[in-house]
Amino acid sequence: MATLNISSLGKVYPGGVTAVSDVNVGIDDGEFIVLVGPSGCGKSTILRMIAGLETITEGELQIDGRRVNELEPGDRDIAMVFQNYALYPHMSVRGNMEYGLKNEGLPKAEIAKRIAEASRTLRLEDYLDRKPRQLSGGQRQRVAMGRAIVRDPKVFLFDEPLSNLDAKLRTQLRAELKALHQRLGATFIYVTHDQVEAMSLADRIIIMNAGRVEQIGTPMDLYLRPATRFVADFIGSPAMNMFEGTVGEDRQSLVYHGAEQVHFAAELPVSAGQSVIMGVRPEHLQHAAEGQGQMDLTVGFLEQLGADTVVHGTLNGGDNVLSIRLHGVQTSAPGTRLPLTFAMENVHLFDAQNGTRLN
Amino acid sequence: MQKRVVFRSRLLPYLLVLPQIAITVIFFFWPSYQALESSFFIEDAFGFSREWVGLTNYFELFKDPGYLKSFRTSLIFGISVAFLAMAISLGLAVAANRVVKAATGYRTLLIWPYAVAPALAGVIWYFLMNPSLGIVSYWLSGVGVEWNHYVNGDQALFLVIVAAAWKQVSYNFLFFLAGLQSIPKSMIEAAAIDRAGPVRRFWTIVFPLLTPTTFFLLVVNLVYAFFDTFALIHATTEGGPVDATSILVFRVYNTGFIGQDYGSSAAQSVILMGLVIAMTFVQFRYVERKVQY
Repeated sequence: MATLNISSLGKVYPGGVTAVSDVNVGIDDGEFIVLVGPSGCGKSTILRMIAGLETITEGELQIDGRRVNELEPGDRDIAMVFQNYALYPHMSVRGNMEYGLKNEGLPKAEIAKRIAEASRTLRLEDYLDRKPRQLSGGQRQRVAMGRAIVRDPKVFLFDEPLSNLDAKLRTQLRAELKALHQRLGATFIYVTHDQVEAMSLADRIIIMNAGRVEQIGTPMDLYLRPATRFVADFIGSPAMNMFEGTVGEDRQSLVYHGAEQVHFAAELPVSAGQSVIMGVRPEHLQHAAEGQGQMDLTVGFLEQLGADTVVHGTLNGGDNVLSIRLHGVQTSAPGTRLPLTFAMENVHLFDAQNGTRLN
Repeated sequence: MQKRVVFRSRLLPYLLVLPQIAITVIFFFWPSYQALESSFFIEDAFGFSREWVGLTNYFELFKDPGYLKSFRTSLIFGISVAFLAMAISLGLAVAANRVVKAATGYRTLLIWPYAVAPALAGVIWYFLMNPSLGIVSYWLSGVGVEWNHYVNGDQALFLVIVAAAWKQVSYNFLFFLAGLQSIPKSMIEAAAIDRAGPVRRFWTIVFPLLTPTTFFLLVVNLVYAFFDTFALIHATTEGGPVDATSILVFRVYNTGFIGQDYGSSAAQSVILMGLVIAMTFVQFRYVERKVQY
C-alpha cells in the first residue's frame, strides 16, 4: 500500500546513452499502472530503477513521500516478479517463498502462516515441496507471484511476467492477476509490450516510446483520445487506419496525390493546406449506402474471426492500406468498392511533422 | 536422415579405431600390466634376476611407517592444494565477474599461470622463498618469521602447497568464471530484492548454484595434487627435508629410481592406479548424476 512519486526521472548510461528521460508521474495507493511500449523504449529500465536494480541518474523517486533513490532494493519494501521467474532452482517452492521472509528475520510461525495463505490463494499447496524444475510454466509463474505476495510489500513490480507463457495460459493468468490486485488492494506496476495486456489490466497506462513518455491515462483515454500518432498506432487491434495528406480548401476534405480521398461531414479544426495525418479506427467505419460514402474501400482480402470480419484493402484503390471491422460474418469479393462513413468524433488528426494531436 | 553410419566393409571400422586402440594398449595397458607384474616380484638392483614373492611387496609397504607417513603427507598436500587453489580462484572469479572495463585483459592475465610448466612454477616459488636470496623469506624475516624450508619440514610442505596451488588457480578460475556467468542475473537481483546482502546472496544463492562446478574441480584438483605434482616437488624440495614433502607419486620415483627397489615401487604404482580409478569412478558417478538441482 503506497503512493509513488516519480519526478524528472531519467537514466543516462556512462557511455552517454540516454535510455529514459524526464518521466513525471504520481501513482496513487492501490493503483494498477501498466508501462507499455515497444522493445527498447525504456519501460523495463524505469521498472528496474523503481526496484533499485538500476541506479537513478536523473530526477527523484519517492515511495510514500520518502526519497528512495539511494536505498538498496531490499530496503525499498518492494517485490518483483521477473520475466524468467528467477526462481532459486536449488530451493523448493516453500524455500523460494521463505527466503525473503527469513532474510527479514520474521518469526517461524509468521512465515508459515504467510506461506499457507499465499499458497492457498495461488493454489500451490500441493507443490510446496517440489523444486521449480518439476513445475510447469504457469505454476512457476504462480510461485514467482507467491514469492512476492508473502513479502507483503508496499509496491508490486512485474516485468513482463506472462510473456513466456502460451496464449491460453496468458489470458487465464491475466484474469487471476487482476483478481489478485483487487483482493490485495496493493499498488501494482506492470511492464509489458502487449497492448491487449495493458488495456485489460491497467487503471492507468504509461505508454513509452524511445525513452520518453508519450501519454499517461486510462485505457479509454488512450483509446479514444490518443495524444500522439504513436499512441494511436500502438493501441488497438487491428491498428488504426492512418492517411497522410493536406487539408482541402473547404477544410472538409483530405487531399492526397492531388485527388480528394476523404470527405468530412464538418470543418476540420486546422487550416487549409496544412499537412496532417488522419486516423480512424477500423471499428469506427461503417458501410454506407451507395453515394453516401465519405471514402471508399477497395476490398483486398477478408479475415473471418467469427464474431467479427476484418476487411483489408486500400483507400480508393490507391496505395494507402485501409481495414474495417464489421460485425458478424460478412462476405465481399476482392476488388469490390465499399463506400464508408464515420462519425466526426471518431476522427483523430495529427501533425504530419511531429505527430502531436490537432483536434 | 540416417543417424548411424553403416560401413559396408567389416574391416574398415576396426581399422579406423585401430590407432586409438594401439596407443591405449602400448602406452597404458602394457606399462600398467608391467607394473602390476613387477609388484609381485623382488628384483635385484641390476635387473639380472627376480623372484616371485606374491603380495609381500604390498605387506611390506603397509608395515613401513615411512610409506604411511607419505600417505598422510599426500592427504594434507592434496586437500590443502585443492582448498587453497579453489578458494583463491573462486575469489578471483567473483571479482572478475564484477569487472566491466577491460574484463578480457584481466581474465587473460589470470589465465597465464596455467601455461607455466609445473617444474617452473615450483622453481619460481623456490626462488621467491629461498632462505638466502628469496624476497618472500626476506619479508618474512622482517616480521620475525624465520623461514628455511631446507630445515623445516612444515615450511617445505607449505612451500610446495603454495606453488602447486598457484599453478592450479588459473584452471579453476576459468571454470568458476564460466559457472558464475551461467547464473542468471535476475536470480541475484531477485535475492537482492528479497533483502539478502551481498555476502548472504553469495552463500545462499551463488555458491549452491556453483556446486556442480565446485565438485568437478574438487576431483580434478585432488587428482592434480596427487599425481601431477611430481615435477614441481622434484624441482624444489626433492621430497625433503627428511621425507616431509614426499607425497605418494614422489615416493614411487624415489623407491624405484633412487632406491632401485623396483618391486616396491611397482606395488606403490599399483596402489596409486587404484586411487585414480576410484576417483574417476567418484567423478563419473556423482558429478554427472548427484550434483544437480
